[in-house]
Amino acid sequence: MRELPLAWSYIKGRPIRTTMTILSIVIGVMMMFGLNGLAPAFQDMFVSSTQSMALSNVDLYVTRRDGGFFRQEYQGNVGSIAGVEATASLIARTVAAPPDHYTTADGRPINTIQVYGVDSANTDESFNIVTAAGRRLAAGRLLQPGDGQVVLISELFAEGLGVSVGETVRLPGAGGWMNFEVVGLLADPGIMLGSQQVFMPLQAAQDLLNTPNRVNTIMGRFTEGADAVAIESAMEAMFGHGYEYSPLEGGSDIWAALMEFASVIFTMFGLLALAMAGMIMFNTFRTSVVERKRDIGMLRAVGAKRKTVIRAILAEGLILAGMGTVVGMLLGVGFGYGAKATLSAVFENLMGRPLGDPRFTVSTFLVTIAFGLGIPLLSVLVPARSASTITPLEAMRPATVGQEAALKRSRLIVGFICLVLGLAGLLSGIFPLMALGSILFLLALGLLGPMLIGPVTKTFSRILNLVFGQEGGIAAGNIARQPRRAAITASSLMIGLAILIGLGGMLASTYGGALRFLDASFRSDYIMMPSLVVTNDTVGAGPDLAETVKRIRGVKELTTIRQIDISDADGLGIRLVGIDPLNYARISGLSFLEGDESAYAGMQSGNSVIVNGRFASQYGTIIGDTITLDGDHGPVNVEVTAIGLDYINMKLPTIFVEQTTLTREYGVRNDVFLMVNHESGADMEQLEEDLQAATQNYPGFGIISREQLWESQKQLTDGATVGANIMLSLLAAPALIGLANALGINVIERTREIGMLRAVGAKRRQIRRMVIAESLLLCLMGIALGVVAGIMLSFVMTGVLEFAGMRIPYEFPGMGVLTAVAAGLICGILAALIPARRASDLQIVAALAYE
Amino acid sequence: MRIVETENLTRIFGSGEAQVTALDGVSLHVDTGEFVAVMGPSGCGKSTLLHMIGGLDRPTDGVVKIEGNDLNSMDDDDLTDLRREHIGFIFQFFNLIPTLSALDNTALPLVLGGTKPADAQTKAEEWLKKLEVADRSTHRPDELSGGQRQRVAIARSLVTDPTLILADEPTGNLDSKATQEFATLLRDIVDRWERSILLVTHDPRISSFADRIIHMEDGQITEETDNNLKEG
Ligand SMILES: Nc1ncnc2c1ncn2[C@@H]1O[C@H](COP(=O)(O)OP(=O)(O)O)[C@@H](O)[C@H]1O
Ligand SMILES: [Mg+2]
Repeated sequence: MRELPLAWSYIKGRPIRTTMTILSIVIGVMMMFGLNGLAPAFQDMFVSSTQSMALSNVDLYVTRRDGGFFRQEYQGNVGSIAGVEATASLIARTVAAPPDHYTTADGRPINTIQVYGVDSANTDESFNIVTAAGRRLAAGRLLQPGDGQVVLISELFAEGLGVSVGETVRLPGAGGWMNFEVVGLLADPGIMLGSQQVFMPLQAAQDLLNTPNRVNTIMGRFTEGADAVAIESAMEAMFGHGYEYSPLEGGSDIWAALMEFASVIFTMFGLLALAMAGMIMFNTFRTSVVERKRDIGMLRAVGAKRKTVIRAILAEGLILAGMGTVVGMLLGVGFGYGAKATLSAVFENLMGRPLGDPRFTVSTFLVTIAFGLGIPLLSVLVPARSASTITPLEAMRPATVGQEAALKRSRLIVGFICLVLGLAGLLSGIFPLMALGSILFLLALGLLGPMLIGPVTKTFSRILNLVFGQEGGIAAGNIARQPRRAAITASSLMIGLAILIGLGGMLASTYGGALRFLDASFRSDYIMMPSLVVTNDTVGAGPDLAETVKRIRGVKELTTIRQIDISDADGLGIRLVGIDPLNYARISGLSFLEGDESAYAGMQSGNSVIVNGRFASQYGTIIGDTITLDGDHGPVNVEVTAIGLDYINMKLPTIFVEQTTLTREYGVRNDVFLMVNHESGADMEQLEEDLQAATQNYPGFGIISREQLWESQKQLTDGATVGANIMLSLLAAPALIGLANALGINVIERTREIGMLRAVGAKRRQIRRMVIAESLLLCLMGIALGVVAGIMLSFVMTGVLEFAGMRIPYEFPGMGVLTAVAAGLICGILAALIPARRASDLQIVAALAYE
Repeated sequence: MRIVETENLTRIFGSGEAQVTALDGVSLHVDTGEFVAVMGPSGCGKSTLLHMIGGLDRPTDGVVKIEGNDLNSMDDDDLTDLRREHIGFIFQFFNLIPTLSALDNTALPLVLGGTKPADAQTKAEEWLKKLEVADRSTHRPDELSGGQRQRVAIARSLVTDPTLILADEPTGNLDSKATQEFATLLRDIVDRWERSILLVTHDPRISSFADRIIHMEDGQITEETDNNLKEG
């Protein structure tokens, strides 16, 4: 490539600009690479610990997609299908162990226990999951019909517990700790680290989990030559879409939804940062093409073809992008580890598991490289094309900076059309149109920006005259003379600030909203719960706990919450939260987006429900719609009477139903939250002690006061806000770089002119003031436009969240706007300082001879 | 042999009220080994004439032939190749690339034409030597004096061995000593290396070195004078 040396010489010849341009790419690539590298670690943490089992003679596993329980009688239904020879019921359920309770003999923590309930009385040997995968019995015996509270555990687990055959182990269950007699030890340590399998009779598992007459798996074996397809369709007809007929999996949908949400946000940050880098590349190259007009004209005159000019500029862009991408990826690794270090503690708290190391997969590499090279290259395309239209004649003309030609009429017309369509789209309230509208709006700003420069300059130039005197006037004149160039410079700041305000507004809405819902959802004095993160794997407390608590002295009232995660026709997770409506309304409550408190009374009958914002936006639900729940006793139609939000479930599509419906239709009998109010004048210390004592027998259950919860959540939110702000400032950095770049080029380009001004008697100080005045004026324009665009963008981004399924009320980013204005001004002054120095330090003679 | 031949060359800028006829039916020729100077008052169309001949701009009417080839029948890429391989330009503003060294600037047309960089540099080095600025070959333009820059620009215009050199007021930025040197150099180029030169100037010290002087006024040729240097 013969253009390469030329491209390289420009890169080397302008070190400051090169560094700043590369830096902007580095930041974008770093964020994208680092954050995406963390994604697999998140995934690992969230992946359901359910393991698939391998039973060679089992042809069919019936499970709910969401891993939930269903009635045991279904085993009979499966058995009645033609071609099914034998069936067996099974419970396979992961139970979270209380933190730091169990360890293996070699000191490793056991975080989860996989409880298997085996119907040994009615199961033939081919369904025996205890001996599946060739597991051997090391001591004792296998399960037998007629067994009661007995269990088989691994040797390793037994050693850790210090028990042997014939002794007793305690396992955590819905009714508190339960004792089991160990009848046998399995030689194989079982499955993955941090988890242990225990096998017990089906009845014992149902008691432990408080799921009488319910199982979560039915296994089936086909007769010789049975038609598997026909069986599957018979099954489909019998059970409907909520069920799966093959391996033992499921229950991870909720986490998958959360993961998807997180990765959308990650990618958005990275892409925004890269988009900013692209903007900067675009601006840099556009200005440098103007600056090199004569060079390029000369190249054309001495024999460079159009193609050659385009290629030289693309090569320059590619070299910068390549260097930026490499350095960005290296820093991204550091960024990933840094983020891991800071986030790990938070997650250990929240999930009981630390976050793993970032992993950089081939696809992360490819995607980052594609964007890291692609976005800059795309940005350079337009300047490169416009460079190639420079004629050799331009090399013949002296390089003075003249008045720019008037804007083309066509450009104005297109700009206005974009503006009108953009505003229409933004006001339409329909998300895809709003997104399109915001793009059109930004495009219109770009197209019409130069036109705005004139009037805006006039308005501000009076102020400039006041502050900077004569120099202010010259500065304003400089800007008015080159509106297009001024618009480009101001636009880099505009876009930066717009993104800052936009993201800031979105985050403010999210966090502000979150804390407000927290307030509304936890109005009770105390909350008793196993953990804030409750899934189907959480073993709640049977009704006994509520009964006990009710009788404690000083307890005025309490309400309980039960829940189950199910899935919709497409296998997407939905959470059902069972409340006791009137008590819940009094003791806790939802924040209503639509509808009001009167919805609680209607729920009492079991015929109506409240859905949350995420559910409403995911399914387009409005008040008055009917939802069909797929219950144990066939479909149940319920009417939506309100849309409300609570803190815990705001990120998941959720339906709030009356509690007895949940028990009847889904067999959910366990409470996962107890909300307690105390009598006024109660002995608080005694009460807290008594509440604590009541949870004694319920492993994992803790008690937290409203204030404590608020504090801890506030800390989390603050932590997240700090994190988000760090990312925002990372995004702001490229805006600053872009501005400094544009201002710097501004000065360089006018070197000769500045020399002339000095020659005819302008003092250094005056030159400096002139450059600073000009920068400030450009800044003010960028800020004014940026604030307008940013407020609009924040509105759209909150809409994006809704589209991604999180519906939250919009909060005006007041703080964001103030911060952005301040940041913009500071950026402007900082960015102006270097060029101002450079301009005032110019040697007059050198400046006049500047090539 | 006719290196340059124009017939009835006309260039009109703008339209209506603002219409300017910069060239008005100019016919001229430059032969091999000939040094021709174009003189005339400012705005008479000298630069425009040079641009037409160099294929930098297209005429409104009339024909330009370089070594017998009609420029009207060439597209942009053909004209570019022609410029690179057959024509050397010397500009009023030296027009060197500020980020390249004198050597790289000189080698540029060769590199653009696909010559191996090492070969291009050897060739460029030779020309810098012939023009007596070889000791400055690693310097960048802003580290050179006006006269040195002009020599580098000339070296660049000669490095592709063009048959024709076009120069537009090349001494506008030089002092009188440098101008004198420059004129001698041009004469050398014609006499020693058998190139043809078409040069625009209004400096009589330079035109006195030319074989022939074409006088222009208002876009037309008014007079041609022969200096009869060859015989002398
Ligand atoms: N691009 C252009 N557009 C309009 N008028 C032009 C243009 N270039 C040259 N002219 C006009 O053509 C005439 C000849 O210009 P030029 O050839 O540059 O004169 P000179 O003899 O000084 O080199 C002048 O009147 C000039 O104003
Ligand atoms: Mg001229």
